[in-house]
Amino acid sequence: MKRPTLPWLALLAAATLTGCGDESPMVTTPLTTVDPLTFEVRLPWSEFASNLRIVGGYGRPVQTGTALLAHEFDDGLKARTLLRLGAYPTSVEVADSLGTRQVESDISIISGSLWLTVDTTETRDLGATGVRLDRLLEPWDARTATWALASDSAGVAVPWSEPGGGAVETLRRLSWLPRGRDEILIGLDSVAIALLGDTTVSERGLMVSIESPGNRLHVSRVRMEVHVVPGSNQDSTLVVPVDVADLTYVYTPSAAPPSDVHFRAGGVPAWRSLFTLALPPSLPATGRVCVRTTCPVPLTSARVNHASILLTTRPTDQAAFAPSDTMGVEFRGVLAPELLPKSPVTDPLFVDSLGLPAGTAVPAEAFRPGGSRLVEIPVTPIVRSLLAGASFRGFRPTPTVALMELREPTSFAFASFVGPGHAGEPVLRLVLTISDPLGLP
Amino acid sequence: MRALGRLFALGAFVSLPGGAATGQSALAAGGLGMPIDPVDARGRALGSVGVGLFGTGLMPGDPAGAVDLAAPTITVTLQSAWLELREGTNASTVEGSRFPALGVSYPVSERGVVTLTYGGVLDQDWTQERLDTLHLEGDAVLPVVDRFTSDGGVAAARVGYAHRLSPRFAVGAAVGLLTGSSARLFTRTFDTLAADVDIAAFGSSARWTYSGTTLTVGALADIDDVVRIAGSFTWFGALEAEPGQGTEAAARSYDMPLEFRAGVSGRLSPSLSVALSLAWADWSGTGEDLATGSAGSTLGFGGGVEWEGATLFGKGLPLRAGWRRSELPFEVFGASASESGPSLGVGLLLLERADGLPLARVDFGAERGSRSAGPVTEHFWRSTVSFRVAGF
Repeated sequence: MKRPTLPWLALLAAATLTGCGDESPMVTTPLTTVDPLTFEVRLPWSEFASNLRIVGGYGRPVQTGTALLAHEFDDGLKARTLLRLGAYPTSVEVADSLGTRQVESDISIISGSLWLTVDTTETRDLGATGVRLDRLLEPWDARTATWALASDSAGVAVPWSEPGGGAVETLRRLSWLPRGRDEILIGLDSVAIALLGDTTVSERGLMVSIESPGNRLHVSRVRMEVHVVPGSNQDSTLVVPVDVADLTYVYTPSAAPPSDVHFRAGGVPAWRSLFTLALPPSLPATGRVCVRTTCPVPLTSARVNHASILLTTRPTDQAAFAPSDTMGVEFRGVLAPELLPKSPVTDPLFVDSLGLPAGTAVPAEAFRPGGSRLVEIPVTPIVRSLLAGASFRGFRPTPTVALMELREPTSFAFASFVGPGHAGEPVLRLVLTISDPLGLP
Repeated sequence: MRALGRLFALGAFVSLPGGAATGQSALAAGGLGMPIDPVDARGRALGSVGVGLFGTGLMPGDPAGAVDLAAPTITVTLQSAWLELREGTNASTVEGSRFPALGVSYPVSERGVVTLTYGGVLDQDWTQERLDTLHLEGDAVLPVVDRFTSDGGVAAARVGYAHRLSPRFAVGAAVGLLTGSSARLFTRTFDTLAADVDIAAFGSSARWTYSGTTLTVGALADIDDVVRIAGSFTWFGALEAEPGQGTEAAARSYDMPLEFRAGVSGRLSPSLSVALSLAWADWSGTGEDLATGSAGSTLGFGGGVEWEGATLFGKGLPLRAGWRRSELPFEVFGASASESGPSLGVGLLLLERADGLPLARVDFGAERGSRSAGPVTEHFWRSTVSFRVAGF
């Protein structure tokens, strides 16, 4: 073949090889007889669920990474924040007269500052609030400490000598004015710093409490810094952060056990509301639905576009545990109901664009007197997998579901919803679509 | 000549599909789809609807046309289209491509050639989308989008034989199997913003595989190298559609038409010729098997001129022009439809044997046409490229 023909053939061969694709011309004028019918059915509690029970004890305050301060709040709630500091710095980096940075081990810690970032939205008394900082004098375990117990591990419960932190040595008392500020600053002198510096002492720890009644403060963050004077330049003071090794809180009284009448979710330790789904094989329908298909309508997985449970919020039984901020709740499947309360649950049914659980947000007002409202919490994957008898996204079909707080334990407060048998009882909402089988013309 | 070469290169380039596509007409939604004429790029440029062109060809609907392919030959035809679709006040553009024909031939004697062809018969690629609103309890109005997509079509694989009975007369026949599949998908998507919750889409799908048989016989006659007359009949057995796994719908069977194609070419001078052709098919039997819609007989006809006086790099560079009109068999949007339009084309003989048999040839045809049915009007540009390699 002569040379000039080669480029032409190559070009056309490329045209041939790339000649397949899959986009279709689209029109909006109806061409076919496909006309699906989408409709909604709402089932009362007795027709889709049973066996409601409320189970608590999931998680510990230390897992939240936050703390709580309260004194005679509502029903007499008291809460104290316990923390344990990490090791102090043993050296610092300083710059000499030439600007060269050097490590200086000859240092003196002369004082320190403890900062607590608090949410003041629940502070009812905007006047001066008494804040007290104590040094704990008894060994304690941040993971298991409660108002009554200093530790409760390996089957051995060790009570505080006095509930609420045992014997303490008061380091500071101060008056904090919450107006316009969201941080409590507690200064520590060199004596207090020295007392807290020995990391080999098991009772080492600090307790923060408030002494003004009627307040509840959510502590979102605690940070500690010490003021260091290097030996080579005693005119300078450096501020060096110190880790907060443990952060938890103890409180009293505990939330009263529920009566299995109303739903409860959230709290620390967290509550979950468990029940068993018993979906009917068919659904009642009338009118145009029955014109298109046999009634009652067989309930199949393919027909379910959406399934959710409509819950009505109610005021929290104990006002001290009422939410102060928006709460996120979700349903999850209970994978091994026979192991309750320690049964694992499914992965979140819905996740956001970051892969984080996406629940239903309920504003705090919904749990206050007069604030009741209807909340829709989707359960579509659970209902579909139950109807299909097949796993969905890695979990097996389970008829037992749990209402729980998003990313529990998160909030000291818990959400309450009207239970079965009461006005506003839970309702299963189903959105279904029926359609004739697709056929050829 | 350099300018012509550039023009040809441009034509070949624009035949590359601009976007991934297969569907070339929304009117394919009518009945069993849109018929695909078994015509190569040269025939497209000349307005041909099938048979009767001078020279040799390797196309599914013209078994006798391969009779003078005295060397093993491969022919590939590719087609791309740019569609301007108007529906009321809505307008959109679609780019699509097809692989309409592939042919292989092998001479088994001085007078006989065996052929193997594969080509499209019916195009079933289309999409319908409709916006609607629903009224659910608690939601005032819930917008939904219904989308119905069809993907697939019918093709035919044929084996044939062409035989020259005399220097002036040749016959051919091809028998083949219908193949292909159709996948249909309907989805209803809910506007979750309006619903405040995530409502999963509803989906329903079905799939069928096609089978059937076909037979084409044809003949051509040459009168003193000045006139060629040719014709062919194509018979189809019933088109059987078997539902795939998971498809609820029943199997279907469709009567297929008897097609007749005829054409004549005449040489007006040593370098100038004209070609006329027509095609007729009765799809009314198919229409009786349709659950919805109807079908009738179709007539297609066209003609064109070819001037072989130009050369490029010393090679022949035939220039072509034509016009054609084809009726579509299936009622769509409650109306019958047809397409028509002019065409232009060019070919390039890259290499030929001493006896004049083309060993490498490329042809390009461009068509501008329109079709309409009911509220839908389509204007299209369609390019077809064929290339042939022989003697390997």
